Amino acid sequence: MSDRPTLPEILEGTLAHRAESLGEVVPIGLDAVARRVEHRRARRRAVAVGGSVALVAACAAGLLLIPRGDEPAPGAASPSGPPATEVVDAGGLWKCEGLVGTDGGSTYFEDCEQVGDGTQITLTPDQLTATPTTAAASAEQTYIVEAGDSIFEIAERYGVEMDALANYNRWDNGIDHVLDVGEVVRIPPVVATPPTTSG
Amino acid sequence: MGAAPHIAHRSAWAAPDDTDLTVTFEELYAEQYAPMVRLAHTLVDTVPRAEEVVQDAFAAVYERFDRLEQPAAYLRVCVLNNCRRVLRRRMLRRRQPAAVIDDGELGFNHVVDAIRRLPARQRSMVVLRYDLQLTDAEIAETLGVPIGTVKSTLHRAIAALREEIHR
Repeated sequence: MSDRPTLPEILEGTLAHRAESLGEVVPIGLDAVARRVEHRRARRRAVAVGGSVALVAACAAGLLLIPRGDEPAPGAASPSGPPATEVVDAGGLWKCEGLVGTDGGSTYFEDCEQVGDGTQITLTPDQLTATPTTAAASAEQTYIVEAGDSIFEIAERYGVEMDALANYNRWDNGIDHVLDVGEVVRIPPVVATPPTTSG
Repeated sequence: MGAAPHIAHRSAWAAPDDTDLTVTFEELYAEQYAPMVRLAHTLVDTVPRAEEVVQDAFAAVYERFDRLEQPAAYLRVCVLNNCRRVLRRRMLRRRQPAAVIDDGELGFNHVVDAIRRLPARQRSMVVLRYDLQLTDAEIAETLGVPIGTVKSTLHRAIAALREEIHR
């Protein structure tokens, strides 16, 4: 009988040996986890001031402005036509990975990271003239399914219809498709509608 | 952590009438921190990165703790998902020339490198089986897939590793 180890034995042995070599792993204090929970909550959703095409364009370009309180940021582009550059006073400056969608006057983003407490940023002409539809469609959104997710929840989260999700991903069973944990779901682009202008 | 929920949960593998085996978040944390860091370390190389992954996973578990049927299983999935994101970013970085590949505290290991290069689903199952020693049923429950899928995926993973390692 051969005494060469089988591959499963090699795998177990290698991983066990590495675990031992790491030595003792001591959990850090729970307050660090509490801070991380707060950070995740702050990151998960950031809301642009409703209605301003300039702000939505800036957000789609990767910058997101969070004004203090709920009042619109002073100096925000008026519907009658933005100047070549725009200086906006904001309560915080965040950089976001993905435009998720719009809901009435609010725009939602995922994976936001605070990059400064910048009180002012300048929007370039490109950022001001970029339409949200172009910017949103340029980067495909995807979502990795986690345990407990449902098609309904994913659709809700991204502001898309369940049927749209099923069609975009070409699921054979449509909305009866069974999600696998770890499956990559492609999110159909959301067409953000700029507010109508009066001039 | 004043707001930590003291909601009792059945331990993931407790028998239904085993009312003593309930888990609070603190207990889950104390019990699972080290095994999860070791699991993550297999995939992401360095202890700081592994701890980052695991702490983020615990934060995710904490946010949903009162809604989770199987907190330990959900924790494992979060750890694996976070590791996948790290590995994907590393793959993207490697496309740039002169990227320094960080081998971490334990240096390069051919077997571990082969595991990391498996497709995500196979990789997850391999570490759950050979690192955490979970059974097929436990892996199926963790990942929310049928047992048959576990068996066939592991079979393919072993075949792929065998070819890779004996190259």
